[in-house]
Amino acid sequence: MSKVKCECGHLNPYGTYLCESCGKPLKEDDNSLANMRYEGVARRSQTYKKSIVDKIWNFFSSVKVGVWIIVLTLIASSIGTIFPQEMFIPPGQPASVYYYEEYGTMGQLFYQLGFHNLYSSWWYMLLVAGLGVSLIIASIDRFVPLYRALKTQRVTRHPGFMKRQRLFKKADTVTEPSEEIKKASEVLKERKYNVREENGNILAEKGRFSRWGPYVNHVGLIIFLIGAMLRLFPEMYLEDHIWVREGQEVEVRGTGGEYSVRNDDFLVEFYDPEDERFREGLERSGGDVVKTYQTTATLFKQSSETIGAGEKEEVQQHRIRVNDPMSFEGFSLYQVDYKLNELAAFTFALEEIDGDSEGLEDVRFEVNLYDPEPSYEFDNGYRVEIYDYFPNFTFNDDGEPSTLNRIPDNPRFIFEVFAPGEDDGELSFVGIQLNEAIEEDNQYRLRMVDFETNHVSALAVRRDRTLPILILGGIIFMVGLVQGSYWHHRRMWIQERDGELWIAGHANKNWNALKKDFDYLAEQTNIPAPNDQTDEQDESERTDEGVREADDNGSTKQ
Amino acid sequence: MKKRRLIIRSAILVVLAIALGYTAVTYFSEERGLVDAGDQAPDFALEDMNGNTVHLDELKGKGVYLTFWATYCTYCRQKMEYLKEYHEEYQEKGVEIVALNVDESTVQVQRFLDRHNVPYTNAIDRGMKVSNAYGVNSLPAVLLIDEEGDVIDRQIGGKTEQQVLEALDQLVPGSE
Amino acid sequence: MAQLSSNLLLIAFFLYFLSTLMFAVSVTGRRFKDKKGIERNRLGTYGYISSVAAFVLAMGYFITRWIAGGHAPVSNMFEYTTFLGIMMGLGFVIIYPIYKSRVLGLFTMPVVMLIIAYASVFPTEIQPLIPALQSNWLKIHVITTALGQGILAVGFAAGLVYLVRVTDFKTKSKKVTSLELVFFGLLCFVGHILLNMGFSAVNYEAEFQYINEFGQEAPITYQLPALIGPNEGTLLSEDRLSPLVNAPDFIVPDDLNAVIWAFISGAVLYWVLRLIFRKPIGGALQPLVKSVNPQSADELSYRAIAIGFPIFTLGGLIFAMIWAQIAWTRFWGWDPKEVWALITFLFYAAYLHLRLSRGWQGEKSAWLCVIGFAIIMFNLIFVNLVIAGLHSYAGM
Repeated sequence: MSKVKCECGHLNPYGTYLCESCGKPLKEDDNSLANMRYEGVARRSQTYKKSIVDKIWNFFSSVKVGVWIIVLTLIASSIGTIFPQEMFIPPGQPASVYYYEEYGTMGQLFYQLGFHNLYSSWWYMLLVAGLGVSLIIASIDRFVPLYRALKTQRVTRHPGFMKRQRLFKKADTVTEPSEEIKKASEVLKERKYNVREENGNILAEKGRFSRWGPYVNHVGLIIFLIGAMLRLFPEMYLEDHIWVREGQEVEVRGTGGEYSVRNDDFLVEFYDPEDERFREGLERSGGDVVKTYQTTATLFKQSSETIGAGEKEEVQQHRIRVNDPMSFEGFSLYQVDYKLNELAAFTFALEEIDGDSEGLEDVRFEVNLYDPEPSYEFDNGYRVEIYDYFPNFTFNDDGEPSTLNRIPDNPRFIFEVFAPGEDDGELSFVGIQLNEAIEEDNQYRLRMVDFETNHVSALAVRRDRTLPILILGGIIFMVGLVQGSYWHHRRMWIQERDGELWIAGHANKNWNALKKDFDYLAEQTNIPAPNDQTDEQDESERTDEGVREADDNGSTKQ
Repeated sequence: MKKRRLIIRSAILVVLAIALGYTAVTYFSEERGLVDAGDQAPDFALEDMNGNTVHLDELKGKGVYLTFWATYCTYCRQKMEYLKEYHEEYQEKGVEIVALNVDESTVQVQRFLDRHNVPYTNAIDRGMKVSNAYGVNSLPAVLLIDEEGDVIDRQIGGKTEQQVLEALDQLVPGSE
Repeated sequence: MAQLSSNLLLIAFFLYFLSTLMFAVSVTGRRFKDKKGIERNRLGTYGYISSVAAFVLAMGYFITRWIAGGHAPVSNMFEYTTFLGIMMGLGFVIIYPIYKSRVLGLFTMPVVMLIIAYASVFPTEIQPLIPALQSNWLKIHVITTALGQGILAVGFAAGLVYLVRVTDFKTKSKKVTSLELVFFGLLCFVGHILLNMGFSAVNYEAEFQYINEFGQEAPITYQLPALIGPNEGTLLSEDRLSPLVNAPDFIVPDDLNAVIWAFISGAVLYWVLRLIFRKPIGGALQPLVKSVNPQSADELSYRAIAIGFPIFTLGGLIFAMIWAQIAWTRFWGWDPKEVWALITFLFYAAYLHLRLSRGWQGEKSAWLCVIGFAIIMFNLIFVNLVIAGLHSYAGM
């Protein structure tokens, strides 16, 4: 693994294709065009292939492997969209049955292969991790040598280097080559080229910084992926939701009791079907189209560390809408769902089953369904007690009356009515469209005469501490992408050799612009524009592949 | 030169492997509760069904069997039966049972407790503040808090009589 | 205002057609040579001017519709697809001055027309925005994405020019077959558009009652004869073709039906053209591109991709994430449309790596441009219409 010494005296690392300093091809082969990728320098991964560490390093450094990882990620991603992911199937449906019932055998297979949670599967994450590792190692592996090569490049290049550039010409008809070169240097400086001179030869260069574009965007991507990785830690990313009724104040989950939010008002607004602008559009969609979902919310902050104690302080009020969350201290509250007209209160009136209910007109009471009072007493001596209450009535496993949950979707009461002076009450079972006496020969009946409802709003609670990292990564990525795509590294070498003028040019992309610059130079001076050697080749034999050596790993080592 | 390169490469690969490995372990390991074994139990002060204040901080020196329940939770009812039976025995040994109902209406809870003659301390966690602080998402949920105020275990789901007894034994001060 | 808007679009469409004609005459003129070389060039310039004028009028459509509806017209299939066509036209307007390739005009303009005509198959009424779509970030996201995709589509046109130029159509080969498949695909679009225009001109409608994906009974109206009926559908209209089979409920049945009709009509058109030309479509087009230097067609398509890729990434991923963070509470949610934007990104990233590092130029690279365009169209049509998700315009 010794270094390779070029005839110009420069010591090149093993595996170098073109001398870093003068550009002489160090490996004699046919007269094909020079491989200018990475300036012909030795990529580090190609140099040593001994230990296991080097093997792993080389694996991830290879563009071939990188592209394979990209392609595999691409294919895997597309497979995940064949059927919906588990998170998109209707809630409450067990995935094990849903996929078979909806999509048949294919769906069953999709489920059994675990594709219903593809994007959080270990192997998909492994692919993305592989992509990240590949990005890091490939960038390190290429950046350093490229930097060296561009830094150490000499103005006067070896004839072998010149001859093998895609744009090249030898002109022996120019009368005063050195004068022309001087003139060319002025012309190119005007065109914003950076011109270096050495022994009367020039190297004109423009847009070198675009060569760093790929590395900059890779750094951006790496930062972005680090952000995405951190998001997997619970401390960095919080995802929760709360339901808040109008008028109710609820703790914002995840804030450790520090913040609570009150729903002052919830509103759903529809587009006016008579609106001239949208009349036809609304007719087509057939139903009402929602214009706004909005929760007017007030945020409170709790002062004490002990839960249930301390003072509250109003922090802010905000109209939370879709696309307009409420934000505080890294948390955001989003409008995500709602429930209209949830039952909130019933009003009951007492009446006699057989009779004119005289004297019972004032026995009316409102029962709050979220937290009913246990007992209701009246001036005329009547008393109603709640014997039991089931907000969402059901019979439990033991066959006893019970409730499904706390939400008053199907409220039922067992009332006990005490007539004045009586110690024994009458029990009756009351609910929506239901009113039955539990014992026979009841004298009284409670009739529901009114009810109230509330809107309930669902707010998603999010805190994503990785956002700044992701934003930084995104910005760097875009800067690098633009830098590498919209600017191009162009170089012109013009030298005088034995009275002849040698002209060569190279662009990392956009040869068209370089050719135009050469044409301009030819107009302004007597230096002729170089020929495109690939065009000449094209005429003799048409190649499908273009002209460069295609092998990434192989062509420079032996 | 060659050696230095090997060291640099190895170092980079090791750093990458550790970072990815750590992430994977965290992500794929069993979900840890917001408050779990080893954590300091968050303090709370609630009014119980008899109008007395239950302040966790004041229970230091005793083991606390903190159980979250609801009237509609079948396993909670089973557990309640075991607790009723052993409540007195363990109170003498210095173990306090504190049951927190998850925000049901007072009438419901009071009637339920009366009907089942529940003797130990019960309070309603209005607004789910304590449940949220302890990260309780499913019922029944139990936190075993030792005499120092540290959580020694977090138990989710139904438990047998035997398991409830073992849990209570763990809580007896000085039992470790 | 809305009427003015659609008139402007119609005029723009005809200008695109005019532009196509001028480029065609300008390119073929060479065969009947010559002496009038100057005139030929002038026709190419007129073609370009016509495409610029078409773009200006199309922007007139865009602005007037924006004023009429009160929101940027990029919120349903008609609006987005039209805008994509306009942006592809803009991509050409940007790239033509750099390379002065008339053949590129000849290939790009018809694709622009095709996309705009395809858009008009969808309902064109102005629809109000649901809350999730009421966001400035959404406008920015969609407009940038369309511009990026439009420029990438120009890369496709250039890739196609390259392939037609270099492929040997005299002998049968996989390359010929594949290229013919591409033309077949484009003809399916033509067929789809013609069928829809034809049937809507005679007001064809077939009504069904069916069970939708939520297990509820719903009505559905087919605009084309039903080959594939809806899930457990019953035909309500009289004198209408009754379907051969019914689709399962997770598929939007009338769209699947339309796709099948598109393939049938595409096949018919294809064979008619084969009979007329008596050779592959690509072979028939080859004389048009004789004058093209393959090397410059290759570089052109690469440039288009290199210009379009950053814009697409910015619009389709970065702005999309910003909008998603605000509207859907998270910047990324693995919604099918998001996934396909990612796939498009990964695909073109692979293209750039293969080209820059592994020397995939010329033919391979041109094929990748074609596949890339196929992915974009797949994302536009299939993912929007067939796979329902957050972005789905199907219900609107």
